[in-house]
Amino acid sequence: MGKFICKIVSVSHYGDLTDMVLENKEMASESKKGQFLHIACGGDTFLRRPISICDADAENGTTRIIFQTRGHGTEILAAKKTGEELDVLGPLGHGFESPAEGKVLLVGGGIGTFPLLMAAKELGSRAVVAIGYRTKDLMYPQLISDFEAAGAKVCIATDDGSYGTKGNVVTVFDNLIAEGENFSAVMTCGPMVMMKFVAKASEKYNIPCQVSLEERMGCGIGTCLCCVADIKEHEHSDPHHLCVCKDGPVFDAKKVVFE
Amino acid sequence: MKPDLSLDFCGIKLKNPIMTASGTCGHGLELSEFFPVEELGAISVKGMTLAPREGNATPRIAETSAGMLNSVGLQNPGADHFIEHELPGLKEKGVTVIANISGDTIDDYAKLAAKLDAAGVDMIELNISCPNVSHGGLAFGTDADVVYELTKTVKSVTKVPIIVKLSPNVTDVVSIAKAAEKGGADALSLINTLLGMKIDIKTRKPVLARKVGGFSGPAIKPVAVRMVWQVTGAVNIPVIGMGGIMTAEDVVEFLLAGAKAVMVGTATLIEPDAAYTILHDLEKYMEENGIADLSEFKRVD
Repeated sequence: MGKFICKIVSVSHYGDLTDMVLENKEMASESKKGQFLHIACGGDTFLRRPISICDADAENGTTRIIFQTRGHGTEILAAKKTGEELDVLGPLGHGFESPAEGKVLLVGGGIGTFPLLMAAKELGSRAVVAIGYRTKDLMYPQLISDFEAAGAKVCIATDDGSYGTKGNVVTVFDNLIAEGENFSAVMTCGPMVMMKFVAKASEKYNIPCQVSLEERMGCGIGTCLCCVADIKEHEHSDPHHLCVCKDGPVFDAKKVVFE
Repeated sequence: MKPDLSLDFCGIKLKNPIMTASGTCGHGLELSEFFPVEELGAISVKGMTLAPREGNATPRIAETSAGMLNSVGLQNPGADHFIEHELPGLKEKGVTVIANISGDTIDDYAKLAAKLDAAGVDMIELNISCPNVSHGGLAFGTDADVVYELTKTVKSVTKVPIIVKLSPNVTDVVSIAKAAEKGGADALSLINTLLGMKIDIKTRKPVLARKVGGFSGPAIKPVAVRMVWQVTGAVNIPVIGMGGIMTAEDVVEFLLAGAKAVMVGTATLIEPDAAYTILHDLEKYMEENGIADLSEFKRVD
């Protein structure tokens, strides 16, 4: 963890998504799946913006982020060009942990799918990816190819049935189990309501599940206590406010209070 | 020649006038991954209460023009936890520790102060100005008689210097400052955050879960400089200035407003090593401008 000046080595856009590769050897070598970067977007933004790490390549010294333009900060960040430099604090937070063996189900919802690529690359053919979209127009084809190139089996669900399985990621999850797949872990990132049902399904199938949470953030390093979530120390204890930035963003689903 | 940034503050020798503001630096040690925290003048740790507090619901933070709002609501693991788990590490590093405390009653403040005094903190800062809790906090800081009583009571049970942290959310900050001085305060610190609000025009709802929160950042600096200048013109105890300090030049402005030391707050949320950078920039500023020591920064008329 540290403050790094990164050079933007590539930027591409797809709809309201920006796919950006940053170069800094030290940062790339430290980056782990599920962690995030806290980026000073410049312009008239005041606070940094947390953006999940999509992938990192220690050998090439590059870290990839994909983000949706959702507000002023991401709008400024999306307009950055190749060759420009970014002031980045990171890599931050506690990421996903891979089990030693067995297949892993990676469940992404919409833009929550991006942080799962690094896990898929590490797991190779041990990864099965379930991605949910409202409709097929929201799919980002490049990312799907990246998951496939990593060796993962990719299953897509759309709410309206315009692509893949009609239904949601839990439908896919149920189908995979019905087909006889076994998973030693589930990792999920996406809307809270989706993760709640993924966590429930994981519990039903007795598979440990890790969820990646999101909250409006200040410092990113656990000092301002702005980005807290209700987390239980043990499955049956009372929840406490823990920092999504430092204690998370990835938590054991059994410890997360979803309501 | 290297300028001398040291100062005597309420009988304590400080390396320099740069401190971190409570609530922006955790318990201090979190920042030691970024810079040697013991090189700052002092660290005012996250505000604590007698019992642990979970704080407010989220969202707790919102960005504004040149600043931000927060409504953390004094989340902390309680003073005993601090004494047992964080204070030893801070002492070991040689950090000058300011314990920032809040209570629901005068008795709470007295108990907390006595406990922390005995535990070996260097100074105690009474937070009588938190805008993010329903009881205590701000309610204490807006009534001169209560401020006098509170300060006097805490002074009677402690030996270390007592700093009273003032709220800007009052009509007459000078009368509150004078009440604290009369009650025996060794120093004052100001300003805490200004009460603010942000509404999302798309959802037509307040952005913060608690609807209102504390406004901080460079946007509030002119208000802070004005209040520090007014207070230092009316009291004879040292004042720690804070409110939107982002650069060494901002520090100089507060010193010229009469502050003896400053606290860097919100800047740390953006750059974890902000206080350390500002310290070095201040040293450079003094060197470049031929300023030998802090006594050359006299309060402007």
